[in-house]
Amino acid sequence: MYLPDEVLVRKTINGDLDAFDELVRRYEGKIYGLAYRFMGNHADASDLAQDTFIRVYQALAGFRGDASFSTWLYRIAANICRDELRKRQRRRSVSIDEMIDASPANVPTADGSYSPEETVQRREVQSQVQFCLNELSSDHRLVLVMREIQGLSYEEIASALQCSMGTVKSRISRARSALKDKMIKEGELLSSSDRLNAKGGKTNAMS
Amino acid sequence: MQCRNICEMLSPYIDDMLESSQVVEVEEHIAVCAACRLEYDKLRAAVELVRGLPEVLPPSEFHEDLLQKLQSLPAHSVTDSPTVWIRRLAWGKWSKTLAVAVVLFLTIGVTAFWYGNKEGGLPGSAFQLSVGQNIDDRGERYGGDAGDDGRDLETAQKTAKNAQEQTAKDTKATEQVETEKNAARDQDTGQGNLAAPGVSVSNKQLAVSRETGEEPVTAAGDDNPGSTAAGGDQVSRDLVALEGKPVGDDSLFSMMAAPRDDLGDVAIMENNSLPAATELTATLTLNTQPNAVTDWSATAGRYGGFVETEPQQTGEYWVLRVPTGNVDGFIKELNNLGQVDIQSNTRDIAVDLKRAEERLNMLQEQEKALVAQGAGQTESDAVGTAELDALREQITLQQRALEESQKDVNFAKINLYVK
Repeated sequence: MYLPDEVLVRKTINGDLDAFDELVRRYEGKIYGLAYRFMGNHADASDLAQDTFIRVYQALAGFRGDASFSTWLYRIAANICRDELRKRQRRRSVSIDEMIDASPANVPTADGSYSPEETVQRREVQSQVQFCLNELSSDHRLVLVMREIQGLSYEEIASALQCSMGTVKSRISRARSALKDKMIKEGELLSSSDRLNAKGGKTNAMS
Repeated sequence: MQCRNICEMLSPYIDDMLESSQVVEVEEHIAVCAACRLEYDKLRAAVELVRGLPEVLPPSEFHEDLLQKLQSLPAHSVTDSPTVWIRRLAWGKWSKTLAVAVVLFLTIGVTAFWYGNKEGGLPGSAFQLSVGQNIDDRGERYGGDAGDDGRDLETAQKTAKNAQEQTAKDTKATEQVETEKNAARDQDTGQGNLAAPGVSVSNKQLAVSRETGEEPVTAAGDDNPGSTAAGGDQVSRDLVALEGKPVGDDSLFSMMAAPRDDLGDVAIMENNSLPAATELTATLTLNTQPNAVTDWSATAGRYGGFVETEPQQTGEYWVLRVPTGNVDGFIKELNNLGQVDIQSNTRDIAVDLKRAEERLNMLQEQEKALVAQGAGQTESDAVGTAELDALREQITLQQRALEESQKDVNFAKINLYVK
């Protein structure tokens, strides 16, 4: 009853749109999340995530299966994100600051373990973290979103970004270092983080 | 070791990507070097902050918008797209099929295993007990439901009890069926496949009952009279039990029917998507006096739901579970009580479900293989049995995990703040 991705891919190629619909359902959350954290706002995230799936659909016949479908999907999403940023930098029409939503996105629905004050404070911290992410170079941001938020392994990232494991390792290392410097520059973020972490933030896959 | 070298290793150290000798180097160094220790703490804190960002879900219209765009693509105008759309509109019906499919999946899996067991000459009583136990647990878990679920609960418990008592009898019955089947095989030598009949019969019968919605007829073995007669009869009796009338002798199969029973009809609801877990957060400002108490257990009960947790102190909220199809009705009732503010969250758990099922499938395959092996070499029985028991325990755990996920699909979670 649950078909592997690869079977759904084959069915889609044979004209079964329902099969593709199923693939979209499986991955839209991940791809949207990637696009959102990369761009910093919902409007761009929606556009980029939709573009990703449309491009995937059009290119599906060329999917050779040398990587898993999900890795291939991430590869396309990463390319679309980078292309978009490049386009914008050429036009310079939107500053990075404007790109970020004024309000932090989808803060998880009311959580009983936090008081209203703490919730407000957490939102503030989250929007600062997003701001720092958006200050990084697109390569650094992309690799951090994939690693820290999506929880991809080094191998998966290497396959999605089509680079070596060594490159992934050093890029993650440099990206983290740059992020840490930004956070220190932003002031309170790192000094207050200990307290917030002690309260137990959501921990993504650590492995 | 220079601090600079250590700093380069801190990031892979966080990800556990260093060799063990390097891990020792890093740990020894940061234990004595305050600067590197601080560097590590800051790096780690930065990573934790990013990891702590909440998951961002696509807006509700995202999916439909995307599908519309895909439909309008010129190059890939998919054949007979109107049909596709009609089918999509009918997805409410789809989800019922899905629920049936889960039952079907388990039925086929366990049926195949049961026949496999008979081939190996093992009664598999431990497994049967574990399934029975499983249902007992379910009974307790859903036992808090208000109202008419009581009958279902009783049925489930009776079934589980039957199962345990009948295990010994079953073994005997199994042998008998085996003899019958052997006789049948002698007559009908063209059909050597022993595992297939049971599977095909159950398949067909479930298909019949699903399409017509009527009680299945017992004549399923018709076109295959010899070898399937015994299995067919067994399976058809199972389906009678599935309708809520457990029959004494067919404990094994009625146990499999029980999940549908005790979830009740309400559980197979008008879900308009593939497996997704719905979570609502509702803030209710009551019209009435603040000290007027609403019996949420009864209110949820009217919609086939129940109270999962109660607030222990002020500021906390009720967690209610309501069948996904009845959420709208429940919300309407809330609106009658006062002003309601709702936030909705849908989590796609298709992938989780798939993983759980694949794992269950794999475990059952392993079990089958083990049973088949054990048949040949009796001297290694003790070792084999222990291994088999461990495997079966895992299967039970996995089945529970699957049920949990299924519960998330069937029952929307409602976090209710009452002011």
